[in-house]
Amino acid sequence: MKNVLVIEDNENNMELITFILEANNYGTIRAETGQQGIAMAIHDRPDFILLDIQLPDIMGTDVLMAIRNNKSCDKIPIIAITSYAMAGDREKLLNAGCDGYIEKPIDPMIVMDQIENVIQSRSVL
Amino acid sequence: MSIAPFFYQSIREKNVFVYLKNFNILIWVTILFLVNISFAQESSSLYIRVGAYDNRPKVYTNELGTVEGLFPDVLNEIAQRESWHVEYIQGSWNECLSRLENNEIDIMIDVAFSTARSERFLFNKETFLVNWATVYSSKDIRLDSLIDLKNKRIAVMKGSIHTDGDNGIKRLLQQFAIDCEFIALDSYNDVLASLSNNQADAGVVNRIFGTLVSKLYDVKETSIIFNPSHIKFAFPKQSTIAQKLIDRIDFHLTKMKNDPDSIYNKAMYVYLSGLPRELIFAKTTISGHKMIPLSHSEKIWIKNHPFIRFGVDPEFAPFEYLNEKGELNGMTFDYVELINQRLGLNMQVVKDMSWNTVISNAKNKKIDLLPCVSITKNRKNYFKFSTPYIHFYRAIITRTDMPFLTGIEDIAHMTVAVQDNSSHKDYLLYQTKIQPKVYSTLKDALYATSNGEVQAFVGNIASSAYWIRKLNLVNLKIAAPTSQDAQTLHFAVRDDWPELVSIINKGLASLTQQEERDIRKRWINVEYKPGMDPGVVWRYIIQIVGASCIIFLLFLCWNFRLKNEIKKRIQADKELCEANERLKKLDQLKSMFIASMSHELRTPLNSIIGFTGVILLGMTGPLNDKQKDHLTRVNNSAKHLLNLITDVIDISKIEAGRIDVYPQDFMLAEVIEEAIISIEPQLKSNNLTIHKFVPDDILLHTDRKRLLQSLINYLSNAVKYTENGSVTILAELIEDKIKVSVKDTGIGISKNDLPKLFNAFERLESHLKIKAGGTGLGLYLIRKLVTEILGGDVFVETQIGQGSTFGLIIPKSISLKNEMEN
Repeated sequence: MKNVLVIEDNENNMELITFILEANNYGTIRAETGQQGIAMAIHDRPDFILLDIQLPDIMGTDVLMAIRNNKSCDKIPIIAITSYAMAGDREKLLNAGCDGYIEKPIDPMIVMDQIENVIQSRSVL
Repeated sequence: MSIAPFFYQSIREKNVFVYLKNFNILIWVTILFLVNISFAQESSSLYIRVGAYDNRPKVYTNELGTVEGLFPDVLNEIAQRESWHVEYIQGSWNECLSRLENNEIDIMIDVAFSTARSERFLFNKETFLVNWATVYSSKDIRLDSLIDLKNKRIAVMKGSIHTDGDNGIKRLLQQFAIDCEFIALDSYNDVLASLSNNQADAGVVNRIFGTLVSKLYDVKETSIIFNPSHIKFAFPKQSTIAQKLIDRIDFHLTKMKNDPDSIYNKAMYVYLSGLPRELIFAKTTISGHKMIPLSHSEKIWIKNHPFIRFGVDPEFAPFEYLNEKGELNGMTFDYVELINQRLGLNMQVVKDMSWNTVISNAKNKKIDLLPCVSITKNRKNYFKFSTPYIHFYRAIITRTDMPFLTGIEDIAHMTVAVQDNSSHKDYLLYQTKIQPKVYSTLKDALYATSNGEVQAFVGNIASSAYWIRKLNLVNLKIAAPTSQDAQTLHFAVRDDWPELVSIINKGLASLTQQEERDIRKRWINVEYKPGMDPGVVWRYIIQIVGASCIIFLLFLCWNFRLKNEIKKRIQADKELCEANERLKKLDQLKSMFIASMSHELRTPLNSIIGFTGVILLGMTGPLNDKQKDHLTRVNNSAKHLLNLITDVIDISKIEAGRIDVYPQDFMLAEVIEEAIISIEPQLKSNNLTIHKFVPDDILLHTDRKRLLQSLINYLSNAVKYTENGSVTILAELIEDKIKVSVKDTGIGISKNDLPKLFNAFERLESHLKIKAGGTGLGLYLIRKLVTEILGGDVFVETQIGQGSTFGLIIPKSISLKNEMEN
């Protein structure tokens, strides 16, 4: 069973994402702040990371950089969860080393396809 | 008069002239002369048949069988002047009209002019009277316009032109699409009665009936009137004398209308006010041109009071005073004499009393009347007052060596003289803080002011001026008015004689402006004429120079004020600009607020959409059909709301100038393909096909995301409003611009709706409106994106039922200017 780290401060979103993942036979680890997320990424080495880019403590892009710059976890695929309103940030995220992104609102019907598409293209590379 | 006498005269002159020349022709002329006389006689005794029916007060038959009323009374007057013989032929309205058509009568009175009728009859030119319909309402309903009649119960008279006529209430309300309930009744009386007892909310009657009869009912006149008609005299088409009658009637009618004392105007007044008919012909008592309509009880009162005593202020010149011989003089005396004459009153002055004695006698009813006093609180306890008939100003009088005063405030700390028992005393006592020094006569008060006993005097400007001149108190001046408001003088009547008040009021009302002007001239203007001794001339020269100086100063003052005013205006302009600037900032702030607020709104919505989605997928366990249906509705509503908020964010960002432009290189065909893919689910569910004509070699440099967004919006609109057929997307390169059109086979849009199409929250009426959903912001957003971000323009071509083509034309490469700007 693959383990997924979900970094998300909004409780509802966290519940939704983890529920969908678990229903699709993924194990989940939860982090509610950016710092916590970085620590868990290093410590738990998940198979991939879902990262909300709006976090209470540090910017999602900073989390991304921190993970990418740590040798112990720099290869873990990261999928950003973006909000439509943050239009300009999406390109920045991809440039900062994000492997893909999902737009809110999360559609349970297609979210797994989106995630798996990213993971697959990453593993091909 | 007819032309006959004139003819007669000219012939006679000719007769004399010819007589001198040639006797032979005299015979012929004499024959002509005789013929002329007989013609003149025949014309002067013209016999005229007039149709009469019953329609009070315009025309009716009295108890003695004589026809009278507004029309007959005026027509009789004209006939008398023209020496016509008038015979009234009575009948119903329809009988009269058919007689008129058959030339059996020469004139029909009271006929409303209409084009249809003018084909059957001749009409005179001058309108006799304009009638119209007036809407009355019951007391507790307020009606301001026709629109207020919606859903009301309206009482109308059956068969009236105001009910069923071309411009009647039914047609009128129908034209305005106003629904209401009509209650058809037999008479106008029934209409008003139904309002009185609340069986109807509004009622229609003609205006003459309304003004005469509405007082008898508990109803209210509204301002709603309609269906005006010009009521005239009508004549048979084939009549040989009609044209002559028309000319003469128009001539007299025009003349009478212009003369306020004519029978026409009297009859209009008397009949339309419901007064007794006799008043029209009554000769007025003295001056001969004014009627004083005294009531019966008033006449009796006058009979029972043959002698009315009045008292005067012997020094209240020029209003009332006793001259050196002890005779009563002044304006008031003229008024009293006129009213005595007109009303047959006998008001007599009681002489040899000081003003204080007069007042105390009046309070004890030893004197019945004071003809010239102001109203004061104290006097109200003893007297009843007539309407005012003289106006005067209250003024402050000081010595000429006193400094300049502006008003009553400036003498607050001075010793001030005032006449006892005058309205000025009450004024000072009750309306200012001044404790006046009271003098029993005006003369004494003025002397006291003149010799320095007091510093100022407050009194009537006219009588003070009179006495200052009379007593030659050259060191006094009229310093300032106490206020701009005129004071009024009235007849004061002992309070147990209220009848006399109304009698005097009627007498005062009967005075013409000319009469009052004459009285004023006599007592005010004449008295002011000064003698021309050298001292006076010098005084005048000094006064003129003084006045010129004052005018010059005023001029300077005015200039100064004008300058200040201009300064103020400039300042105001500046403030306006600043306010405008602030408003602009506020508007931006608003847009920013909406942008960030909307973002906060999205977060909870995302949860709702997510979780309902999860449940709908059955991931939390099976659902029954109802649950599935309801949750689908929740999910769809939330998505709709989210779209709305998303659009709002975009629009407010554009309006706040906060949207970023990200120009990049991309192929047009790719973007169009992406747009089509994103609306594919909708296409499928609507069973539509899509055609694409896009050259695949167009490279663009612009904001890809915004172009995509606009195209998706256009496509999804096209799909929404097309029930069957296809959607076509076309792209072409026109010089350095690209044009993309989205064409559908949908319902189309009416031409009238085109201008508002691209406005915010405009959703056009159509049977697909509900089904199609949508925010009303889609096209508005496209326009904003295309014009403000992509630097292009939108367009639309459409025909109802034929489908529409929406599109955009944007530069192939976003201009540097646009890029810089954003």
